[in-house]
Amino acid sequence: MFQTRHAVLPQTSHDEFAREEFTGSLRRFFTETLWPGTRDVYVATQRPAFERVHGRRPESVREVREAIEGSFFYRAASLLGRAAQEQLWDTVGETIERQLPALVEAARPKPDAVGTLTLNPTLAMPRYYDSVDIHVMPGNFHTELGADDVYAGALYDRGVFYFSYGGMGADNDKLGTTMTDYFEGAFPDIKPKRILDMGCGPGLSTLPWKTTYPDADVYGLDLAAPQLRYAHARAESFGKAVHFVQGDATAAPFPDGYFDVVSFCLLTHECPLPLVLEIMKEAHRLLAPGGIALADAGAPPADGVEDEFFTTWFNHNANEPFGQGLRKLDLQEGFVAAGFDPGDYFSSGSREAVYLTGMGADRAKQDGKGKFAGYVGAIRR
Amino acid sequence: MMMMTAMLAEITALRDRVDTHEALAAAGEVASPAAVEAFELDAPRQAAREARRAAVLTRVFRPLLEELEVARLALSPQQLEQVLAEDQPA
Repeated sequence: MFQTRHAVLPQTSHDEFAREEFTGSLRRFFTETLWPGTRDVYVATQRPAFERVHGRRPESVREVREAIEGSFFYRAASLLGRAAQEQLWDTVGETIERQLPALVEAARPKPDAVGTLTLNPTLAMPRYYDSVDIHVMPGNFHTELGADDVYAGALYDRGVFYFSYGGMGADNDKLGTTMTDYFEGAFPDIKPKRILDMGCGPGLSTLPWKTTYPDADVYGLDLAAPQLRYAHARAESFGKAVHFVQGDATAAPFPDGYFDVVSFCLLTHECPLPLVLEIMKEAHRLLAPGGIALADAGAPPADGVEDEFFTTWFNHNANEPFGQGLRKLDLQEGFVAAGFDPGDYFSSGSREAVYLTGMGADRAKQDGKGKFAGYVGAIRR
Repeated sequence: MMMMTAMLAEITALRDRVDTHEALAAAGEVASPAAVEAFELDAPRQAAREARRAAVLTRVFRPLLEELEVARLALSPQQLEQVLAEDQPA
């Protein structure tokens, strides 16, 4: 599969492309073969060894880790996963560095733009956000390498395509399109006039809303200027009129009741739990009566200490420190605390962390569901 | 390990470049640097390259996959008893 070209997608030489393709292969190898294999090796070897010594199974995540750390397979698999992560950003980043001036020029808003870009240079980056390179992405989403920078937007757009080794589809937007498909199916009579995608990044989850509801005013909100500049140029290239705004999802620069839909995709697992609750509260404020908040449900609570160990690899090894808080949150309680009525909460019935189970087309065959994530939300009355 | 995966990226990129050379040769073209850069990869050839990379990873990391295979084939105590019983004199 080839990523659909647009005006600001980085170009690659023959060999740069080949090295990027390898990072996708390595990511698939880790996700589909190595990491699932650690459970089998643990069950066959390390857990029995622990039981022989202690007369019981491990009763904490620490004991599971102590049991498995002696395994060459586990240590090698974990290192390969980390290598895949670092190499992904390094390989993609190298291509962007050499063409960044051209990308910056290509991203400059044009006078005849159909959408808009509204930045706030005085917006302070929250401390939690500035303290970690999320998923080992150098500089996180927001670091600016120069004036009018788009490096981080380009890095994420191209990087996540290979992170998912094609699972995001050629347009790199499958998480967004499955979300809007779900929404359309769940609320077929709703024709929203104004939609907000919070934590929009380069707009991968934003443009599907405009495609699904072409008459709606669609907004994307993000803290990071390099993402928003890139998102604007990408949307213009695809002919989609979207308004990209720089702001904080806990204090968005819009009046009360401004939106009919407030959506957030892949946002909450990157935020400390108190901020997740603030974001839900802000969604309530921003919604008009009858408006709907929608979010990806994320990973379910772990089923015991062994499951917790095997489903928190990214949390401990790949700079995803906040997701563990989210998965322990009762999502209905979160929306109720935000001001929604318990009876107005809805759920697609599942919670799944797509980045753990893989997003390739094979996964639909594995579990027969053909879904990529679970969704939750609430209706504002 | 990270040096190994970086090296593998170089090796597989080199192999992809050889594949491009072979495709150009099959079309009767000279594999100049410009021709290589202009070469348009189609979906079947991309899939073949992906399959080759997957095979490289399987070969290079064979020691890991062997350990995984042994774990998945591990005999239960009952199965082990059965195997041992087969060697007992009748």
